[in-house]
Amino acid sequence: MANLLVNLLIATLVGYFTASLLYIANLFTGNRSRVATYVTIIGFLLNTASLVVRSLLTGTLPLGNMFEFGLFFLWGIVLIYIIIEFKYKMNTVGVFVLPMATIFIMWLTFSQDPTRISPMMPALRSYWLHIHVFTAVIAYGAFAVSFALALMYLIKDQLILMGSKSKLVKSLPELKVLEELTYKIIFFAMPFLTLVLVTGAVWAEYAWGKYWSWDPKETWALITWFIYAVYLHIRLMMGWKGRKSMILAVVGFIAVIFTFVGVTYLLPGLHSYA
Amino acid sequence: MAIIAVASILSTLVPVAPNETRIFVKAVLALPKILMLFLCINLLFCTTRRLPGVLRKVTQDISLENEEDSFQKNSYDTFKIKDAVSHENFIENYFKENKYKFKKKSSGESIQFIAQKGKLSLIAPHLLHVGLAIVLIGAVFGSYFGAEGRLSAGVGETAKVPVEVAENMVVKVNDFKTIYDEHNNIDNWQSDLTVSVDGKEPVQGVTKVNHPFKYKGVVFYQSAYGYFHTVSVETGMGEVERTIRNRAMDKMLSSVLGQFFVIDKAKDGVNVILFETHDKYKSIHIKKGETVEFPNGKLKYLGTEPYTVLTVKRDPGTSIVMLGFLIMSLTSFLFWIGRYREVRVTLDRAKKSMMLKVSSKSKAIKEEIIEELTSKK
Repeated sequence: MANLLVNLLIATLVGYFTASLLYIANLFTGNRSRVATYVTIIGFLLNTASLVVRSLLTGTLPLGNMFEFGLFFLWGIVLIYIIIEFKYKMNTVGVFVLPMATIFIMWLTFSQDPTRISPMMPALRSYWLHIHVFTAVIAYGAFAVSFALALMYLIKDQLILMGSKSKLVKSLPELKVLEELTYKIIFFAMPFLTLVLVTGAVWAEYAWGKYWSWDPKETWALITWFIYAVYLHIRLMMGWKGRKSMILAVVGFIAVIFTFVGVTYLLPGLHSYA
Repeated sequence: MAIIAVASILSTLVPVAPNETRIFVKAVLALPKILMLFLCINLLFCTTRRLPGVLRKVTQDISLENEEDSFQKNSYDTFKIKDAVSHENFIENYFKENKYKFKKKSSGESIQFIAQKGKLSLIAPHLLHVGLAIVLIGAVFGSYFGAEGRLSAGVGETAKVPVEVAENMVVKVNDFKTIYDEHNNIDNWQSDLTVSVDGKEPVQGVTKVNHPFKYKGVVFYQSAYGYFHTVSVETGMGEVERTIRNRAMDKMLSSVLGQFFVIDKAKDGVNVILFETHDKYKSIHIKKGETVEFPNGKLKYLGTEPYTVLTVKRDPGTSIVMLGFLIMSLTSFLFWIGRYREVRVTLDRAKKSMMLKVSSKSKAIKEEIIEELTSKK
């Protein structure tokens, strides 16, 4: 079963990598083919199968450590991307999201040990884990897609400022569309991020007797919440649009990544298992 | 908020020593909390100033009464239309299809519409502010009126709850056990307790990780556990019996009659690691009653009893904080209703004109509504 998991992870990696190449090729050739989308869906199904196999191996939902949450997080990113692509008919976003997914699964497969199964610690054996992590997957998955859109905005904006007339400028969606979609995705994800904080706090109260311990993971999740709250405030209340708000969307996702990876390695605390 | 984010980043990056005493480090750690308090005060001021007006708007039913007084006609945009009757149907259908709440009034040659949507979103930011403020108020309240402590006791022993948490409250540990799942992995740790105040009304309860036990406002959390290992050591200096207290997973070095060793609970007995000066000399698993020999003597293992460590807490602020969390969670989804918009339309049959006024904080929404309502040729 462990070998099957490794094979599925490698197949997912191949799927996402192929989709990345196809999206990039589409961007530069102007091809409207949907092959890249179908390959992404195949990759997503393989990603789902990896999660199922991991669940069978652990005997519970795979949410107990960094590898398992990472695999679920990746699943969330690609799921939200597929929904966005179908809803907004915008497959150029894949040029940024799929390479990100490829790097992510490479890191999970080769730097974490997918075959290592460790029993879930008692504090994690709670239904709050499912609610807490599921809301985090939706929020962080959506923020990853908003990050890709914000990057696209900043690249296109920079190219326009430089007077570039390259094919890339024409292929990327309108700045206004990118800006609006980034906002919509962050707007959608923000309540889930609030739930991540709240469910984590309620669970901590049950498990540790402290709803807030100023643990680095908690503090960084709060920092991320503040960054996105500032983004929404300046956009809604002060009407800030364009470059400044897009930079904030990028900074927000950097905080997400630091909360997930950086804190675990650099600032261990109560959440040292994740 | 941006400043709080920066202060919070700093607070996680500054290295903190156990029992930190440096003023600078303490200030860095306290800064986000102080700023959060300022934010809370700011939010409360902002919300109390604006909430009554917002509530009035939300609870008031839409009305076309006194329409002439409440609007300045020059704030309307005027458009030419071909046919007022078909336009009337078009506008009515538009409001119905887009789920607006609307009212219509005909008087003489004019037909007036007023339509609203997303009223609850007006209140959402204020409720979120209130929720956040309640969380912070609860936290401050808890830090002033709450208390926390720890107690530990072996099976059959009693321990006093720290007096700052509850006066004259005593806990007797009836049992402590490790619960295993079907794969023989640790599922939980469980303490069976009897709690009483002044020896009256003893109440039995169970506490385990994720399932705290509550009694008279005091919450008992399963926090840690350990073992009392009883050994007898015999060296050239004599023979003594000692009970060694070890927290689970903490391999503490013990010394009896000059002999250094680590004793650790294992299945059916204990693991003993013997040291000679600083070097590990021998590691052995022994059962109850067995003896391990070392160059200058021997160690006999006499038995193990578990003990439990409980965190006890009294925090009247917790329920306030939880209320704040509930408000925050619910209201954060209220934003999804969409931004508030109000549309006022007056059709003039005689002049074949449409006067239109769209109120929304979003320019994009305004433009979209105007475009859609004027799209009929």
